[in-house]
Amino acid sequence: MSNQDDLAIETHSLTRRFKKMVAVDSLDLAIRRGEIFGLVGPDGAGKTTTIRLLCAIMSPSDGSATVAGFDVEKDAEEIKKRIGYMAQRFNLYGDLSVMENLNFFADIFAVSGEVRQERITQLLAFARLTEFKDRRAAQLSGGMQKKLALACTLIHEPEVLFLDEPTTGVDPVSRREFWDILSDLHLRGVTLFVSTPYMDEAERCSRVGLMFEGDMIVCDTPEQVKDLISGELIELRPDDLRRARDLVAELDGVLEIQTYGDLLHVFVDSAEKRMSALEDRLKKEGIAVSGLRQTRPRMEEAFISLIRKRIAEGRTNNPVSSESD
Amino acid sequence: MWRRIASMIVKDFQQFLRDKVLLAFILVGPTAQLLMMGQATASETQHLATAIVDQDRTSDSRALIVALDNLKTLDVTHYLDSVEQIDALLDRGEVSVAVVIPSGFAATLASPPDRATVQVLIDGSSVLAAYAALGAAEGAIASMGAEIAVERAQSAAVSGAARRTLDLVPTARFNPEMNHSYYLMPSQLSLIVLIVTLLVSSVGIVRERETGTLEQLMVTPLRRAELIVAKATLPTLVALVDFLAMLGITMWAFGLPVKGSLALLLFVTLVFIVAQQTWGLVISAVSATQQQAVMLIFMTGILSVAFSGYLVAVENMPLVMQWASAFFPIRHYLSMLRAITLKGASFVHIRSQLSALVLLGAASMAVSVRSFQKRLD
Repeated sequence: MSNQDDLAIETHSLTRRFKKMVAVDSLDLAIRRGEIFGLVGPDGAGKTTTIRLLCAIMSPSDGSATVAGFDVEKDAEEIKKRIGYMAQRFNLYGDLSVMENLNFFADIFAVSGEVRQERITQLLAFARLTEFKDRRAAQLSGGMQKKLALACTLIHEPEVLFLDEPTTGVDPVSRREFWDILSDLHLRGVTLFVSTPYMDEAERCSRVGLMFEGDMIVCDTPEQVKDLISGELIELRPDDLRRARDLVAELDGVLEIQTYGDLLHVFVDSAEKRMSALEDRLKKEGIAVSGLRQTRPRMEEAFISLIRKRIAEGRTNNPVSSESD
Repeated sequence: MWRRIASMIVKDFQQFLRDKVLLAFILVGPTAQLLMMGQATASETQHLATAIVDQDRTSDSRALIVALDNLKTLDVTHYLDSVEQIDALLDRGEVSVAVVIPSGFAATLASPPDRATVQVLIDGSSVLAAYAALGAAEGAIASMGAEIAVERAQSAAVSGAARRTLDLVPTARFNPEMNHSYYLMPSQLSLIVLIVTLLVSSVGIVRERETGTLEQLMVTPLRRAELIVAKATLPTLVALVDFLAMLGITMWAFGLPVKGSLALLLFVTLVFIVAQQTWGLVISAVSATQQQAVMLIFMTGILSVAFSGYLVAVENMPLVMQWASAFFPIRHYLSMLRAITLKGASFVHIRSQLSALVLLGAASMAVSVRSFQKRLD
């Protein structure tokens, strides 16, 4: 483990229980300053609880965590001066204008004088909200609301920024724009802790953690995570997805099958060896196949595979759908 | 610290002034209610037709009749010869009140310590009118008794009996007109203050919880105490302004007398608002949505009407209810409000109620501050 000073976030067996349910189970994390850390996982995996624990607005049931060098239980207020937090829901004052929202948070974080004027001007430009500064926050589009929320959490230049599904419900263009802003922040050295249900966003992180039912199943760079998948991936588009899936499952060398829209993703021990057998079998049954190719597994396939493996190991009672479309 | 509190307060005011529905609820609603209620009770309880059965026919009985007739509440319209005639008149609704002065009335008055009795019959179908008539008749009769006692005390040597009659004086002077709208107005005022305080304070917090801004505020250097102080300011000011406006209306439109000190009245109201605020905090702590908060406020309002002495005087409640009512701040506030406006009570007279109010406020503050944490769990 690296030097204590280099760590923005560190947890030891961090656990949070709600009555009988374990929302976060013995989480061990070490996130260096300047990282973009992506927390991914299905709904109910414990992502939001983890972020709330780290933001010191929820007490751990067990274990400990430090953020920006301060303990979440003992020095909660010190942490709050140094972090920014953007909750999943729109969390600004809808009946106040863009400017009023920014001014309010500047007051609360004691940002005053010239610095304040400068920063607000900068943030407005940065979030491309300058021309909307007098508009009521509730009247902004979803994407603009997210950017305003982000601007408000940046008013005190936090060292660590926590973002809980910041782009959920935002159109693709705004999503890209939002991530451009996050990249800027990353370049400035801000530590980013982002939870997201989108795998393409996970790919943009320096490291990702996959959470499932309170456990961190894997935590590594996107490349390493993808390498965890056993076998090679064949992608195809059969005209009868259901039958094709059942037929392919019986073939030799097939490790796992996932569906993705009307695509079939087949993991095999060797693509070279199995591709033709697969094609022949489907043809014989009269199933037309297009787009047959070997492809590199993406984060998406990797995560589904990892979660399935976890379920197969019988370490959970919760059935999870393998469909990811 | 003060800067954070101040910016929070400014923000709350901006939001409050932009919430037109809440504004209307707080200003228009109570005003209309007060005006209508005052108007209704005033017209219903004035110039009630009164029948007199004078079986005594002495100067004392005639003096009592004149005294009754002089009341704004009663108009003597019928002089009857026998008690039997009363029922028919009451049934037909020609009179609302009948007063029977028995023979021997003057004689009894003249020979203390015997007490003269006067019978008052009332049309009970109109509750407000009945109360008003009864109160008015009682007042007139009591004050006449007092006057006689005073005369006697002045003319004769001060005997033990006369002194005892004199003891009646303060009771007799209390609100002889017994104007029902005067009695009802303070109740209504206290209820308005209660509802407005609870509504503005808990909605202010619960709305922030509902929209997620409370969670956002938790991740800022804003401290719990700062948040509580800031969040208490708007409701306190709004309730106080509302109280002043409503008091103004009752004084101007219905001539509610404020016999005591206005400053004391305001002070007592402020204490009540603060005590009630803490209850508002408890409501906000347990409510996830504004809807839940509003339901709890309504429940509080209904219980407060029952236990405050608004409808049934506390002394007339069953004993258990009387004890229970001690835990309702509004009961103590209402009794002080009535005492200050109608009786002209000063600080000394309301000491015990004020201490009870302060005690209740302190207790619920302890609970509320505990229940209001800067954490989600």
